[in-house]
Amino acid sequence: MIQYSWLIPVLPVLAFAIIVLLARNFKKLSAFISVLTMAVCFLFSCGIFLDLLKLDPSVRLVSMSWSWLAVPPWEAHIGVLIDPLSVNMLLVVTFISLLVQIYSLGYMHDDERFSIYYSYLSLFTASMLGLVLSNNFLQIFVGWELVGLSSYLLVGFWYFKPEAAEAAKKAFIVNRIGDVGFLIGVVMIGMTFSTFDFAQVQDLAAQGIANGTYRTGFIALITLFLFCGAIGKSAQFPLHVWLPDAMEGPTPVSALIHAATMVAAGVYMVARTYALFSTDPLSMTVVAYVGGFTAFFAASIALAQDDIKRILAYSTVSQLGYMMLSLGVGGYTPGMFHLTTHACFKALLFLGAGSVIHAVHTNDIWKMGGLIRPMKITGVTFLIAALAISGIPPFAGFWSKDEILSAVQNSTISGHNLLFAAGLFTAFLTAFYMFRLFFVVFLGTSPDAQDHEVHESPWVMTVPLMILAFLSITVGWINWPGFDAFSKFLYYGPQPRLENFNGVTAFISSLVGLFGIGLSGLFYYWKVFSAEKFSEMFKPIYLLLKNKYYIDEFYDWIIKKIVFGLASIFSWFDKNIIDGIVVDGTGWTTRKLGGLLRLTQTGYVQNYALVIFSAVALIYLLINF
Amino acid sequence: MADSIFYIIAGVITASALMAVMLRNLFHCALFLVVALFGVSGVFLYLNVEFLAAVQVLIYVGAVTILIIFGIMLTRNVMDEKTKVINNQFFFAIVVALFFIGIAFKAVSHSPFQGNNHPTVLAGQNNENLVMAPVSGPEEVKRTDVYALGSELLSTGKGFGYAFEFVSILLLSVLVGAIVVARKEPS
Amino acid sequence: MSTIPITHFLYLALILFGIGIFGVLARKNAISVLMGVELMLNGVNINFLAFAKYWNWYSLTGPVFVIFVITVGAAEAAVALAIIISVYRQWKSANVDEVHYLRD
Repeated sequence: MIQYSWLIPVLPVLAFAIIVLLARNFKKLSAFISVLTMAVCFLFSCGIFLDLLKLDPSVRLVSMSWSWLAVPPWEAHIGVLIDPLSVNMLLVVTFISLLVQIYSLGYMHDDERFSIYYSYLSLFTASMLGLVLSNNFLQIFVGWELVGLSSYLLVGFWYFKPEAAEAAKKAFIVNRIGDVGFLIGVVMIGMTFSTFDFAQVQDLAAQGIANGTYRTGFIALITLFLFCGAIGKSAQFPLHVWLPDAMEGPTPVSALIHAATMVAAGVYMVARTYALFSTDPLSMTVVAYVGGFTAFFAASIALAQDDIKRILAYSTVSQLGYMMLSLGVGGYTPGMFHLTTHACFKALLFLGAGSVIHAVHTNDIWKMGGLIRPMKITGVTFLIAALAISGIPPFAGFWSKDEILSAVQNSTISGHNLLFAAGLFTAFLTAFYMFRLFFVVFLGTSPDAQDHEVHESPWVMTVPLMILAFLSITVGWINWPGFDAFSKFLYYGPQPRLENFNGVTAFISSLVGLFGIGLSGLFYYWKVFSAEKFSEMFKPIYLLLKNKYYIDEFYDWIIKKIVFGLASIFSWFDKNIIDGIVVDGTGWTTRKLGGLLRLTQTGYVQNYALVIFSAVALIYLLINF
Repeated sequence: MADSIFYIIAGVITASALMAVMLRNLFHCALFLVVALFGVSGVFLYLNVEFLAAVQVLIYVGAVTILIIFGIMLTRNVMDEKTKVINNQFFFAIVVALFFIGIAFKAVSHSPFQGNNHPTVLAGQNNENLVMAPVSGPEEVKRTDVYALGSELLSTGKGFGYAFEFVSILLLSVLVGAIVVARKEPS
Repeated sequence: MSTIPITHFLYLALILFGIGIFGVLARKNAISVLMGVELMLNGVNINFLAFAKYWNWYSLTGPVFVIFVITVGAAEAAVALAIIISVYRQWKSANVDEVHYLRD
């Protein structure tokens, strides 16, 4: 089955084309096509996974390439790479995509542009799968840009809302900024290695480093450029600003794209090019610190947000930071494991939030309360996801987060103790704000603003919730110490690393999570401490967090002052110098010259005779001197 | 002694030519032109072309100058005496003329035709260095009288017979054309 | 044989030619221009004959050519005068700078 794996991205593209061209007016048909395609892709991925397992671990890498564009002597290839990393991503993407599409049957049921929504979802999935399966840098760049496009289309789905249109633009533009770095990295790779294929680049780089042909830090420079793309796509600091705004899109879109798949593309890319990153401690340090800082930074902002989706968005940024941190300190397997578990419980959180929003028609958590009574399934699954993300055993998040913390602790990177402390503190914050959300929305009393009947969502929406809840509990158990199925499957290097579980760290991180939950309960459930008084006491900090550290305002100022300032300089230059001097000037000069030349036509024959004789004299002079 | 007369004639030619181009009264210019042409005819004598000297007098002095004087008479303007004679190109014209003469002088003075020696170009020998040999050795002495000139002019094979015929046709057309151009329109 | 060097003849020819140029370029009246042209032609004739005499021990091409020059020069003077007379009839002036209707 592996040799047909190229079909996996192709099928959703066909679905997109069919829906757009033929099935636009048939809501049920479009949904059916899309969901069916996704189910087929998922089963296909399972089949490929099983096929891969049959192979011996040392040969679990199958790469197929077709010639795409031949400009002799160079050729661009389009190809498929099947190895544990890509298969892992395949399973995650297709499964979450399938669940989200089923969920959307209920959530987007009343929307006019239902079919277009499903076509966009298919397009996105096709792009993501193409990205994940690519075996060379050019193809991954194409997929990279396509997922950015799909994200734009989906975030701006309700384009008539100005906030949504702005958010879509912001997502695309901020992504683009990261992509400039990514493109520079890809071009540098092409120029240095004369090939874009992952395997070939890895081999050439290893050879080159062994022979010392590259200047010190050259490979690091390339990886840093590539990492720029990851910063943009995975919403790390400082390019995180698009993700919270992207919550303007429909909630299932947020679940799919901005929780489980697209934002994971950055992490995937770092993992894919791990051979290049791991050669230089500088790149690893940068990745680790960016990840670690982002994790803490985003968690702190989430503490003071009131919009349910914004809280979850910052939570995503924070968890992605964890994944980057893990990759940076050398924890390849923990990072990918956390990506997998996070996909499950974050998608669950978003879909649960969508269920809540669908019921109460507002995003403000202070307008909600006590929702667990009417919405039992949503509430319970949400609780499971919150426990998972807080790292409470035996839920899924505990296993992956704990492995990351162990990896940080055991790493040799400079300042790893600081990173460890930051990771631990962030875990505390995560538990705190997650349960703040849970307590305020689901427990407690309902405020008076809620006057219409609140009821549980239809089964198309709750069944995916239950499936994901089940996974949020059990997915972590794949890597139970001693069993270690995940670590044995997906690892970097010749041998899997199995020693990542540390009992002491596990205990401490669970304690920290429980402490976070408890403190949150004291503030928001048992109301022993008053949150309002606390925020009054620390008003400056509270405002700083609530306003996202004013980073958006800062960027806005930069754009106005610097970008528009430069733009106005260039505009002046263009209007006055290029247009005025070069274009108009050319015309003016030609006319004046013409006017001058006209004066030679005196109509006066003796003038002409004079010129003739002078010319003869001049020619003589020129010849002889 | 004959040579010094040449220089006198040359001086006369130059002076009268200058007068011919600078005088205000057109008629006087024409008269000085006559003197210059006579002088040129004299120079022709030094160049051993007696026939041409005679032709020069006949045609240039006898015909062309009369024609010019007729033209002057027929186009006398009432305003002739008051207007400037020299146009506004005066300066440039002097510059160009002097320039021309100057560089040609330079060319001539650098040329290999120095001295009295007649460079001898013998048939069949290579003739690179021309500053040279005094006259010596056997030379073909061609006939240079009118007879030879006439046969050269009229022989179609080795001479200029065809050119002669064409010039005759040219003269015919000039004759007709001048009459056509200059006659009064029949009103 | 006279012992005048050829270069003196050439100088004379050049002087005549130069004066002729000046006459062509600097005179207002059309007939004066014609006179300048005649001077130029005479200078050229002297040039031809000088070379004819000093070269190849008297080639006959020189005088023949001079005959042609004289002939054509006379013809040209005739036509030029015919034109000048008819121009004079039209515009009542024989000055070159008043007959510039090629311009504008």
